[in-house]
Amino acid sequence: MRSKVVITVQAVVIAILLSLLLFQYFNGASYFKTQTSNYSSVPQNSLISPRLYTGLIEPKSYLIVNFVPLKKELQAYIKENNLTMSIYVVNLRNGASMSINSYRPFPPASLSKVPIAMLMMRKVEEGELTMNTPLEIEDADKVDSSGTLYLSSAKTLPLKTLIEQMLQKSDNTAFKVLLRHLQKDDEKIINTYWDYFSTDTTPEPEQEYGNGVITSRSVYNVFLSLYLSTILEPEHSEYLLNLMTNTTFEIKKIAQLPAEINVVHKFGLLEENRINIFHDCGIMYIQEMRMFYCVMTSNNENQNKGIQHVGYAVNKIFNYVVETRKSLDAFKENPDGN
Amino acid sequence: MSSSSIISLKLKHILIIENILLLSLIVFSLVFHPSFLGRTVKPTVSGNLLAPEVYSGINKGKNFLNFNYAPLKKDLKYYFAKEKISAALYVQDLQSGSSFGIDEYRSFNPASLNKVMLAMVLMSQLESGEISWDQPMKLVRNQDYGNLYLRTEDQFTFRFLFEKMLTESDNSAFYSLLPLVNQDRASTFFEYLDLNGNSPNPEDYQLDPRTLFNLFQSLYHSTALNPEDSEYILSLLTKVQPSLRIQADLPEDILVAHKIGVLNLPTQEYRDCGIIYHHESRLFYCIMISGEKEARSQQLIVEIVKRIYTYHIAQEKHFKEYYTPLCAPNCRSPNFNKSNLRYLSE
Repeated sequence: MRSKVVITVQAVVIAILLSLLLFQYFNGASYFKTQTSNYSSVPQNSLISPRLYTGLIEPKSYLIVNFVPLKKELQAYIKENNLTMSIYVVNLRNGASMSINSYRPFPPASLSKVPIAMLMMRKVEEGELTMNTPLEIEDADKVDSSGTLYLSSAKTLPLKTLIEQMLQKSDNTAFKVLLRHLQKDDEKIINTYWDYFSTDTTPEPEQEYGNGVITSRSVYNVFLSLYLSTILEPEHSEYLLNLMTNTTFEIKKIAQLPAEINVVHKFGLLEENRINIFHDCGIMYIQEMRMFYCVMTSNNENQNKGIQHVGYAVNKIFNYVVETRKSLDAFKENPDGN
Repeated sequence: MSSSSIISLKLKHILIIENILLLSLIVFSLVFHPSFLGRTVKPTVSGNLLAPEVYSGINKGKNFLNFNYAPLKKDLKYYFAKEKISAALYVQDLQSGSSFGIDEYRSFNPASLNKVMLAMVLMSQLESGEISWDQPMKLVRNQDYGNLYLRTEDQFTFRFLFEKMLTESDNSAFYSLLPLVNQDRASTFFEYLDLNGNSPNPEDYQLDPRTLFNLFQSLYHSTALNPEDSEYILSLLTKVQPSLRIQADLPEDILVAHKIGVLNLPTQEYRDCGIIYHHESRLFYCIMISGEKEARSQQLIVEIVKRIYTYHIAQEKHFKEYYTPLCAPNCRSPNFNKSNLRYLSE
């Protein structure tokens, strides 16, 4: 009798282990291969978007295209509070956009951690590094301005830990370690491919900002490159996006966004030479909508004011998108308003 | 041997087999665990944060789509200044979503681009059954553009006039179709696409190139019409004469779905907005020129479109060729200038 019980229990354990292995196999390594590619269904001479034929956009979707009311509201807020602010919003499903001072140059602060993480993943893909390659931490790397890695006594840390600390906790020690591994070829991607340090600014950058200025548009290039996985394998882009959904700076709380939506984002904060900077840029995933936003500020009264202004703008963007979607859905149901 | 001892022996065998299986499974799981024996730790992937276009195969990963239009913008600004052109321009890559503009919020009378708006509103009414393709329409003659006013017939079908309006920009066709517009539908349509213009006076109706993108993107993504109807309107716009593709000497495998607008006011106004199709690339452009004679405006637009197309293709080719071959780990130059990344902080 006892043997029978042991046999049954063991059989159950084996079954569970086998199912777990099978699940890991089908859901893990082959995740991207199992995504069905239906691009072949697009007629060769089609003049409309292939997204329609592949089912990514439904016909008569009334995707959001008009951001004028939002622009007016945010412009009034900027004027009322006498802010130095740039805002760029893009509906990633159709490319419709809204911009306020989107060519205005700003120092990047920690937003540069996103392109650096992407370039590190590229090195992994090229076989130059692996996710667990130990990277040396020099004393000069240890900075206490953001993150806690400077407290660590470790002489080396794996690349994976450094990328995760840099993106999720905005760790400056991790950033400095990774920065040492950038090379000439990476500069070409930063400058020529993304135009991250923007060459298209209005007005010309102030001297105190130096040459390394970015605009909300140039940040868009980096996020778009990540979202469309244009320089990385999809699983690596997905990995980085996933890290940025869970960061120490809680934009959802600051902007009073619902807990159930995903926001992939990176913030940047800098108090140097009396330039009080706060930025937050990312992608809001609201049901089927994908909304890129980038709000950049400088000359804020203090750090809290900067956070407050960015939170206000992000909240307005979210609410506008949700409300507009609702009214367009109602219009879809009844185009003549009868 | 008693039957109970046989059963007991069999149970023992089963137990041994199960133990071997269990042990193998544990060993297998350990050996194939990513971090075992220092193998690469793969990033954990949750899925669904990337663009669905990547998974559907529309945008393949690592395709180095072009995002950087700053050099083209600089070049065109220089060209506008050199030729002393008063113009506004907006360009958007429909594949990647990146864009740039020169004076893109400067408003102009849209001229015959109104015909695309009318076509979309009427198509929407066709879809709801308010009008039909074979419906006979009385010809309203207008001599400003097109030659339909010269015809002796007084009546044409809706389809005939619709096609004439888009392919030949015929004003008689436009004015013949105009009375069919359902005002309620038109106003919601205009509001949806932000096409109402800034002036309350209809005489001063003006739009900018950036706003006209809304109209073409709606057609391209078929956001307000059935896909076959959007496809039909775009196909008519590829037949517009004179052919921009031929004028700009673009390759034969390129299609341009576009609409021209000409206003012979004292200021001489010329517009051209459309989509350039080249293999998988889709480029929207909208150019509005003021103060130049029609023939010169045409020449200028041909040159501008040529520059946009050439830059886009060159950029795409450059990045694909440069990055596609796998770069060996030691092929990089070690002298990266990090001074631009000096803004640390949080």
